[in-house]
Parts: sequence; C-alpha cells; structure tokens
Amino acid sequence: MPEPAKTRLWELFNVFAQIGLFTIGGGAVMLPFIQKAVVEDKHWLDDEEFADMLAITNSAPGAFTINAAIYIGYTQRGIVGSTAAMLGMVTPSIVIILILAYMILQGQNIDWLQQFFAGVRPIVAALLLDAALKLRKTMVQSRFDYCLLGLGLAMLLLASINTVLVIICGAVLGLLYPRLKRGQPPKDQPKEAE
Amino acid sequence: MPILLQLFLTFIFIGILNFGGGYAMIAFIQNQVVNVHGWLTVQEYTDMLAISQSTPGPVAVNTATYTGFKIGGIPGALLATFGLVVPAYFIILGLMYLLRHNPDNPTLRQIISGVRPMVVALTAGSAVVLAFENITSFYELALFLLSFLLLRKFKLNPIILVLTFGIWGIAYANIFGV
Repeated sequence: MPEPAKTRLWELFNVFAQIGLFTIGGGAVMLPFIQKAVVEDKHWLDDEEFADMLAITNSAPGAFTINAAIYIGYTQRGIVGSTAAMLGMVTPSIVIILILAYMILQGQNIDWLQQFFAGVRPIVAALLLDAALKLRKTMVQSRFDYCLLGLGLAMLLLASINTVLVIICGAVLGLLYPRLKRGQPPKDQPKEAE
Repeated sequence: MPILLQLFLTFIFIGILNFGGGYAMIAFIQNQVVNVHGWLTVQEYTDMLAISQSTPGPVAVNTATYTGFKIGGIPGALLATFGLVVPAYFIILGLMYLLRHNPDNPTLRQIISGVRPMVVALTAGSAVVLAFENITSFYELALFLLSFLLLRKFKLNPIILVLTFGIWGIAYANIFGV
C-alpha cells in the first residue's frame, strides 16, 4: 500500500477495551497499560507525543483515561477514532458493573472477585512505579525538570496537596522559568538530549 | 424534570467540573449524588466505591454506571455514563486543536514543559500512596517485589501480569483458606 495504513476503528476499540478491562482503580493505574499498548506495541505515538498527550489530558477536567482515549483516538482517525477509542474504554466497565449490580441484587456470591483483586492489588504499585521510571526518560531531563519533579512529589506526599494545584504549579513555574532566566548568559541549550 | 434527564445533566456537570480525575472525583461525585440529589445513601455510596475500586475501568465511569443503574435501570446507566464523557470530547478536542495550530507557540510549550515533570510526580506519587495502602504484610510485599522484577527485568506484559497475580489470588485464598 502506498498510503500509510490507517488504523482500523475496530483496532482502536479493541486496544482500549483491553486497557479498560484489565485496569483496576482507574486513573493513573491505567497509564502503564496505555503506554505499553500505544507507544511500545502499536507505535501510534512516539515518546514525545505521548508526553504531550499526558500533559494535556492531565491538565483537563474529567477522567484521565477517557481524555487519553479521546486524544489518542483522534490522532489516528479524527472524531470517529475518538469515539471508537472512548467506547472501547467504557464498554468493559459498563458491562462488568451492570453484571455485578445485577448479581449483588440477586444476592449471589462474588467472593472469587475479591480474591482475584487481593492478588492484584499489591502489584498495582509496581506497575505505577515502572510507568513513572519509563516516563522519566522523556519527561524529566533538565535540572529544572528534576526540581519540578521533586517539588511535585513533596507537594503530593508531604503536604497532600490536591493534584490540580500540582499541575497548575507546574504550568506557572514552566511559564516563569524562562522569564527569570532571561538576563543570564545562556549556558546550556534546553532539551537537545540524545 | 424527568429523572433520566436530571441524571444525564448531573453527570455532564460532574464531567465538566471535576479536575484531577480518579480519586479527586470521588468526593465531588459523592456530594452531587448523595447530598444534592439523594440518589444513594452514604452507605450505598461506600459499597459502590468498594465495588468500583475493585473492578476494572475508570472509577468515575463505574460510579456513573452504578448510580445510573440504581436510579434508572440500563437506560439510566448508559445516560449517566455518556453524560460524564460528553464534556471531555469538547475539552480535549479543543485543547488538541489549540496545540496543533500553534505547535511552536512559546507560551504553550512552556506550560507543557512545566506540566510534564508534574505528571511523573503524580504517577510516582500514586505509586507510593497505593504501596502504603495495599502492601501491609510480607506476603503482599513479596508479590509487589516479584511483580516489579518481572516488569523491569523481563518486561512482562502488564495484562498477563494482572491475570497471573489475580488467578494466584484466587488459588491462594482457596488453598490456604485466608
């Protein structure tokens, strides 16, 4: 095919349905799954584009995972792609919750589900740590980036500051930093790593 | 106002106003669903949270589906869930439009460059919080270390990892009767 092959809508739906099906607890927990599928397996986004996607979807209101599905779907197939990815993301949740709500109303035993997740819960932290280490490569490069990372972690863990304020703080410091630095002799050119 | 329409509008409102996603949403949704509309009692909301946190998918979506189902059956579940998602379309596509038409705008680039390290901080931060919450015994610590090794050293697929450890959880409970 001379044209670059278009991502099929079914494929978008399918990839996000798998992500939606296997991630527990939502939000950040899904990040490693999305990263693996979208960057490492399908090559829909490169590391840079993935980093931009994360910055934008985390700055917007709403569930990060829904935002990410809409964003990534759009890069592949426009609005239709967004819809396919978003439907893929929510379909497993809707089906599972409906079945469980029904079973609970019928008074059925769902112990096996609790047991399954008792095995999964301890590994969620490992998944997130692995994702953070992978992200660090593209998203934290300069000394200023490391200062921000440290500041963000301190705000979250030591002061339990709301995640929104952490994001806003990053945006404001990102805006101020070049203005404060101006007037100093330009030493290192920003971000030409590798 | 018909209850289904009210449900739809409430979750649109939740979709627009809840920043921070995931856990930040929980208190906000609780206020709407429990205090403002009285669709669920606090007890029901807590039970629902336990279910949606131990089932796959975004917590907000699970909450919307469950609440919608309780109030309006399957149509209610679908309406609440799609209400939640509609605002995200406009917001994300709007932001993407802005970025794509001004790829070199210095102000935008500076904002993004400041937000990027914070996203890593959010991810690492939730890893730490979840580790403290979910690793409370040597058994769980062993599961955590083993899974971290499998991920870092052997690059195991996360989906296979979750399935394996989940099935192990069922086996462990039934063999050792914990």
